[in-house]
Amino acid sequence: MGCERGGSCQRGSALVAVLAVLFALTVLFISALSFAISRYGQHVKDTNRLVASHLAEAGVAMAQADNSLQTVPLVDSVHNAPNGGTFQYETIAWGPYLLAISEGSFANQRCTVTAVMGNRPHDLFKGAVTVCDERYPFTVSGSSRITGDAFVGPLSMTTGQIRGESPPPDSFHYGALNIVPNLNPPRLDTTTFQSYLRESATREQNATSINAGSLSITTANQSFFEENVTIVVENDVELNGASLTASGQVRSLIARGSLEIKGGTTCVGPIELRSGGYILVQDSCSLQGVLLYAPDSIVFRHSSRFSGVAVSQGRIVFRDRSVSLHPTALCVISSGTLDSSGIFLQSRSRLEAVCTVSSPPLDSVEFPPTVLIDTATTLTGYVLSHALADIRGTVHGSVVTERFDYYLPPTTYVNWVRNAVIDRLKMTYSMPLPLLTSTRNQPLSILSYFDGK
Amino acid sequence: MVNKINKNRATQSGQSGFTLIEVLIAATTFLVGFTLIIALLNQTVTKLSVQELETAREIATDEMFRVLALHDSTSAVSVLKRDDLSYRISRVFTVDFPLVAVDITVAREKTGKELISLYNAFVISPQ
Repeated sequence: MGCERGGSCQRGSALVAVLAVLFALTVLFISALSFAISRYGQHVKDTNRLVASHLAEAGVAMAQADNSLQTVPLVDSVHNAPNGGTFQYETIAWGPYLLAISEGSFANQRCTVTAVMGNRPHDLFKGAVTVCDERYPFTVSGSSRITGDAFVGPLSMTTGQIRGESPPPDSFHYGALNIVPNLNPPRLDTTTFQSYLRESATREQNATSINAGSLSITTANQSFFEENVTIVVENDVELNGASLTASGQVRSLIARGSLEIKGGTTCVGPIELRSGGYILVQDSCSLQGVLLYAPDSIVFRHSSRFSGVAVSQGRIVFRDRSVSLHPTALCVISSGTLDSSGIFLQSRSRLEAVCTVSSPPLDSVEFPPTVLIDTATTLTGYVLSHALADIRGTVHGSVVTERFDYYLPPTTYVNWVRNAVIDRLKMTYSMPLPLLTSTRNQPLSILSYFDGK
Repeated sequence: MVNKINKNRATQSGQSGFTLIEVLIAATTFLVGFTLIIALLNQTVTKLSVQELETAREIATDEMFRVLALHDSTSAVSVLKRDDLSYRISRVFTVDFPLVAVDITVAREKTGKELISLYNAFVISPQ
């Protein structure tokens, strides 16, 4: 009786052991299988994203070749690519530089590309192309100081961080900070800018309303703006609480003095706001698809919102939680003679924009312009500075400048490219350069680091 | 009499079958082996296809960079061998001046299965 019980117990425990082993093996097998499947799925997803990004670029090329693109915003029809994907481009903002957005789509993966180009066919500024998905490689070449976080990582890589002044985190080395002094990035096309000035001058000559003295446009008299295609004001202009819209036809408001936009004013559509001095946008004003031009400075403050093209020969400032929304191009064309010129992003402002600062060669200018991304500010987009870039805040995207100063010993910068030559044609997918540099068939020389003190 | 019968049964039972321990060892060995083989097979198949896909992606990207960099618009088909696998690369151009569209397809040479197809375009300068 006892033996039978004992024997029965032994057999039972063996069965349980077999079941346990079987269960463990099954779990292991299923885990391995699901891991392999998810890895494969991720690869397929990455590949589809790559295909979508190329489709989006095709849309940009099509926008560049489109003869009908002049000054009126345009939405293109959807194009079907032979590989089964689709793409569509759209021009939003206008002025000396057209902003085109192109979206590529392939197998549920989408990619958006923004391009800035001249407002005439083939009058291109094709280099300033950025993929606004916060996952594009971060490239610096130039006199830049990075003291904040720069999120890096091309399409298939894990996003990491670059820190200038504190010990880098473990994820620090993801991506590569490429020091590319011989990048030869595209320059702002000053011919395009000059042609814009001529066109604007022509509009000014053919003005439908010329006002001596100053002008204040409010909700009470805003119909005055809608009745006139081009309004020229001899002195200062104030937009206070007005709501201006334009569709189809470009409307211009040209102030020979300064231009102040306040009191929650909204402007929507292809409206040219031009000043002979400065432009101040404040009090939560909202400008959408608007062109601003001021030779002196353009300042956004008090939570103002902007999308469009802003061009200045002095400085463009965003402060006090002001926001620029996609798509936006901020262009400063500096002569290097003005102190504190450039683009300044300060006090909790947030930009989705292509920022370009053009300047004569650095050694020939008295005051080199700067792109400053201050602490607690964020830029998603692209920075192209022919002078300095001072990045203390956060940048999602690519930065191209002339020189780079670092704060830690060179050996700290793990995986950064040093003393190397990148031949784009031999590069693998694991380290693609931004679109800006991807279409130039020349090796990129990487200079040595120097002691930044 | 009863004892004799029991003895016979025990002898017959011991001779005619395996013990529980033997069955357990055999089952476990079989299961471990089977699982390992399946896992290995699955891993190899997946790795191969991922590797193939990755290589095809690299080839297509390189080819696209080359086309965009050189503005080369000559349609061509070529075969490239990498990691013991052969890939067929075809470049097809559609010119609608000033726009040149390019479709680069990388396929498995043996079976002709398409692995990736990249579509992009560039603008030829007017001169």
